[in-house]
Amino acid sequence: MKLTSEEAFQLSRRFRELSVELGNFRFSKWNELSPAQRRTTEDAEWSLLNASSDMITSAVGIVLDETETSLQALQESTNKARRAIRTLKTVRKVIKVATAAVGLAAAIISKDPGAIAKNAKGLFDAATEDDT
Amino acid sequence: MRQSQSIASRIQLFLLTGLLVLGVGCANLAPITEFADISARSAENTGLVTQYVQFPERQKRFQPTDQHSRLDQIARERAAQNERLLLRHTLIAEYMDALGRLASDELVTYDKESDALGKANAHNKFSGESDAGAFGSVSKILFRAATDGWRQKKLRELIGDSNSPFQEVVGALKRIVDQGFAGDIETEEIAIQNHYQTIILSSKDKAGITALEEWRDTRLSEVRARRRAITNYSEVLSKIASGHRTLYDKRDDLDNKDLLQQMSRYAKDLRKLFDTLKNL
Repeated sequence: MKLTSEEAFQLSRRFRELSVELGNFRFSKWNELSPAQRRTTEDAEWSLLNASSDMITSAVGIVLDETETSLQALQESTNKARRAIRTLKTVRKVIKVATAAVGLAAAIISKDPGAIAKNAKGLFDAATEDDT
Repeated sequence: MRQSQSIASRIQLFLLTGLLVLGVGCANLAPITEFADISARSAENTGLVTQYVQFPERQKRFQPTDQHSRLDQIARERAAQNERLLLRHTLIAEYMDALGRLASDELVTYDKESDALGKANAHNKFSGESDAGAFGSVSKILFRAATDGWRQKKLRELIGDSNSPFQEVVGALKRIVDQGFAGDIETEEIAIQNHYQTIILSSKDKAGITALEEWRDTRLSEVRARRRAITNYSEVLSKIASGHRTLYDKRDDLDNKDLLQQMSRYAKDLRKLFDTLKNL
């Protein structure tokens, strides 16, 4: 049976608490325990503490797996927002193009070939300007 | 000349009609941008992830050598999670950045471009000099009114569509911070106590014991500073989630005065917390 992230976190807490209880026992009975008994108890404490860290690592992995779908949905929302921002930037560009087009329109009305060429280039520049 | 005058009168009619159709109310959503910006900057802070990944290596200092291979195994597993954890931070930051930019009034302000268009009209005799200023002023409002409505609709859709996955992703990161990273801190405290207490009880050198106790207290104070940082980061994530939920609840009335005041308060609270994260 697979653990949920909550169960894995609970187990990590329980292992940690057991390690602390063993440590309290070892330190409070220090003079009554033989060096070998102290060593055995201490080993068990570190094992439990590392089992707790193992469980944290597993729990984090489970949380990451559990939220993969939401993460992708959020990525998609972010992309949509960026597209909307690009569209609004395009409006700015359109006004610039319109401004350039006004100059070209006036040049065409005046039938001045030099002015038409100059304003046509201005319109082209405005239309092709990078708006990022 | 007659053609120019005809164009000028059409422009005036266009502007007048536009203003009547759109109305002139434009929203100032600056507090939403403020909230989103500081949220994005806070989410970019990944110091706690680094500490989580480096935790097994720090533990080696306190644990007996026969435990080191097990710590190495944990280190490998955590290193493999590093990128996925950072991705959560990055995505929350990128989403809030996009939300902030979409809420930014700068995006729907075309003052410079409208002035240029007004001047071009006057310069080319499509409108008189006196009309050019009026044209610029009216077109500024007109362009903004037209785009602001669309922008607000997009913002509403964004907040509406993303609230559920956003709460999931931020909530998951908060659980990792509250239970995973904070759990590591508790383990570090226990390891430090075990390590030093075992040496102290085995020693008969009083001066050495005093020195060891000082070392232990220094190590413990470092760990406690990290614990405070974790508590603060958890609070940051709570504020970001709660602020977004408030936006979601009021998404149909984004320029509501009370909502904007609330967003300003969220931004202010986040700025205070942000300053405490600098040592991470």
